[in-house]
Amino acid sequence: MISGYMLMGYIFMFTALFGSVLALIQRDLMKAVILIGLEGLAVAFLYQTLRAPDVGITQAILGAALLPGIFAITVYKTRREEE
Amino acid sequence: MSLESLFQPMCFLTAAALVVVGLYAVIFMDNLLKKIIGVTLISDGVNLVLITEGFNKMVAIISPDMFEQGVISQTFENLKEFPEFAAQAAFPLPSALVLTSIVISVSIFAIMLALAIRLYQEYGSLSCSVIFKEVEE
Repeated sequence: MISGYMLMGYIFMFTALFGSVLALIQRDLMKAVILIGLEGLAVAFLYQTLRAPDVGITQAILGAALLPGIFAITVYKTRREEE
Repeated sequence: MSLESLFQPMCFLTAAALVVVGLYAVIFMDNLLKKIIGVTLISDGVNLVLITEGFNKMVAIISPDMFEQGVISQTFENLKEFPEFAAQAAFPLPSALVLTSIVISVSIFAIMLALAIRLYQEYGSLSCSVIFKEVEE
């Protein structure tokens, strides 16, 4: 019998993998940045499932909020479409 | 093999897949921003390997009822010990290391993105082939 905790962990692994693959095949760079934020959030929740909540909180702030912010500033300063 | 005993190997596989996808992006993608995204994926994968190493798969979730009934400590008065909790908790050293690693990696990515903006101002493109062609001329 699988617990809901483990099931959530499997869902987050799936989300991290597919978010990263989908981010790399986008032509629009802003969509890629948003999908990178999704991948960081999934990894943050996976850290929570692996019983490292301090790392999960730090990853949720830096990897899922601050890093897509800097990427979005870069996309805004340069061009949005990939040539 | 139940699904619960496979949890830690599946975490290792996820980390390995993240590193592979990131390496593919760094080597084969043409856009500079996609390459930097690949570096973030590699960093996430390596951090996930370290965290999964410290995970103890025998852990059960401590409920509040179980937390009430601790063992009375012999050395200190009015203090409860939780020997089962201490035996089942995750290993704390990798999380202490990864906490530093995440913070440092974000600052490294900020520097990389700033240099990417500077390259765009210099050459007018983020494509690596265009930048290399301009450099050679």
